[in-house]
Amino acid sequence: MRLKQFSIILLLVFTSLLLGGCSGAGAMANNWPGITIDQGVIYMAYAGEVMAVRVNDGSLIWRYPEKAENGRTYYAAPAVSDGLVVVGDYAGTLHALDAATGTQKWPFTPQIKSGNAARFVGSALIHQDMILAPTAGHDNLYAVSLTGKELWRFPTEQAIWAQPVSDDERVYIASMDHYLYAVRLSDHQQVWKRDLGAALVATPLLAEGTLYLGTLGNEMIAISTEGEILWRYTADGSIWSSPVLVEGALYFGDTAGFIHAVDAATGAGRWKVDLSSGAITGSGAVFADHLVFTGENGSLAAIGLDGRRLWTQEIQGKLYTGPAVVEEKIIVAVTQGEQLLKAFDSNGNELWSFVPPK
Amino acid sequence: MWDAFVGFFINTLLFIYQLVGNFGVAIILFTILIRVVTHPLTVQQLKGSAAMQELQKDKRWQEIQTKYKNDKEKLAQEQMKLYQELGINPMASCLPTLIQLPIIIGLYQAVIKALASTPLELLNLTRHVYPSLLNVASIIPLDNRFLWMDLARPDWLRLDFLPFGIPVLAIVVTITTYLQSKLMSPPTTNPKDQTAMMTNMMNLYMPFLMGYLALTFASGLSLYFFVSNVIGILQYALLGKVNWKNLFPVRKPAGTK
Repeated sequence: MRLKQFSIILLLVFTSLLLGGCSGAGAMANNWPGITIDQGVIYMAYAGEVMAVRVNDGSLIWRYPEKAENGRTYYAAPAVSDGLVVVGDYAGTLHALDAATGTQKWPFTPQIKSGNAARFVGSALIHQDMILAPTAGHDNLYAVSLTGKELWRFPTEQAIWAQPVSDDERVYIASMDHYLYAVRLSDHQQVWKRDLGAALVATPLLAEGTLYLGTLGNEMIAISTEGEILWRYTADGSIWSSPVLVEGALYFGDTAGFIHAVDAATGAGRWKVDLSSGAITGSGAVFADHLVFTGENGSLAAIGLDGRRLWTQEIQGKLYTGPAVVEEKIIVAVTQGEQLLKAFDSNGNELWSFVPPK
Repeated sequence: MWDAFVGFFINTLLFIYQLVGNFGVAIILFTILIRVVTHPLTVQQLKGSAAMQELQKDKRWQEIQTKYKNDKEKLAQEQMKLYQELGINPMASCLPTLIQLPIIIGLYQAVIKALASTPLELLNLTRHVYPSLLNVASIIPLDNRFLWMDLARPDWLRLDFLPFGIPVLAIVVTITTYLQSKLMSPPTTNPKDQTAMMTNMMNLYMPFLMGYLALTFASGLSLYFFVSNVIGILQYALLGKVNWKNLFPVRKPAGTK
């Protein structure tokens, strides 16, 4: 009977550890990788680390931290400018790293009364002499100096997952509270805010005085920098990424798996194509006279500006991050695949793949 | 199929949220709804347990245990005969629990998935939503705030005059789990009985286990545990099955046999 009692206790201890591991409340949450490319280097944030990888051959330059810290995960695409890499983690710290070596220059951990940690899900924007970092949990946009000191903060009602955009005078913040905010940089006062009817998770595209952004209410909306809604276009699914603007047309994907082409001036639909590869959550990339998109179920597809499918490459794994184009290469970040990064040429032929060394 | 099952729970939970506008209240109402729906199973379980307890006192049962203690096969045969003769279903006390287990796990997963806090988790949540029932545009993101808590994070109440946080939910989950275990345990005539000793051990261990889980889980889940414990006690009280004596044991005066 003593053995039976001991076995039951052991089973209960094991069950409690298992359930504790399955709680879903810790910082080890699920998401897809974020990548930024600057001067021939891919900076990627994923799971417990940030890595710098060479574009030309996919070799590792550095990784940060040297040893993964328990409970600290990185999902926001790093922001890179003038030798500085800024990346936030899910446990609530913004890290500034040396772009060449990956060594930490300073950390910034915002504090609020509730004691909850901020969560950095969206990418920061390095703009002139400050870093604009959106957070979830605190639901603030933090303005931080290039030496890691808080300058000011702007509150929203819900999390900010989208990277902010700026036209030098103002910063535009798309928040999950359904509002797009315009905040003056000189005195961090709100100029206007507009309710767009659904949560905003995509980074707005700012072009020639107009902001274009997608919503989780299946709409692409054009709004002037003065807050006037110019037009609305209804897609087939929710929109999770920025559109690309080419010769007066916007191109973007939705979670129903369609790629849409919309007239940027009027919002009229030009064509739409079913990629048939699950949700499209990343932005497309412009490559010469065509576009490349990734579909959730592993498709990397090249689409002409007229909607013709040019080629498709199937990749093992999930593709949530949009492709990036640099030096005649298409770079793709893979989730749940054997390789973390892959590079292709303009015809979809694989050039190299990257697996992080253990 | 399991995904569809959890999806049904998610949509029920979110439908309630859409009606009341507060996720904490939605979790409370959802828990009450599940306990009401599974109440017939709880009643059946209690009846089965009571019948088994009565059987333990039956002389014929005790004779069988003594007579065939060295012959397990014969013992099992005689036990089955007695079950049939008395019209007792030995599975009646545990089958309802087994049926409730996937419901509890489904409810647990529904609350976790609804508390999506990363883009991938939110993307997966929106896929479970029935568009004919729920307006995704208006309910996403969920308002995770309830009282002082962020339901997507473990609970810690921070007060200005204290340098540390208080895990309020972990404490109340521990207490209510202990109360529920104590109040719902059958009275023991023989403290040295093996079953009674096992029950006492479980009554001591389970509250700490649940308290530990409440410390690490999102407070939305801990809220569910707390409400479920309280409703469980109320259910048993309504059925007259609460053993208050277990909570306040009466001591016999010294010298009394």
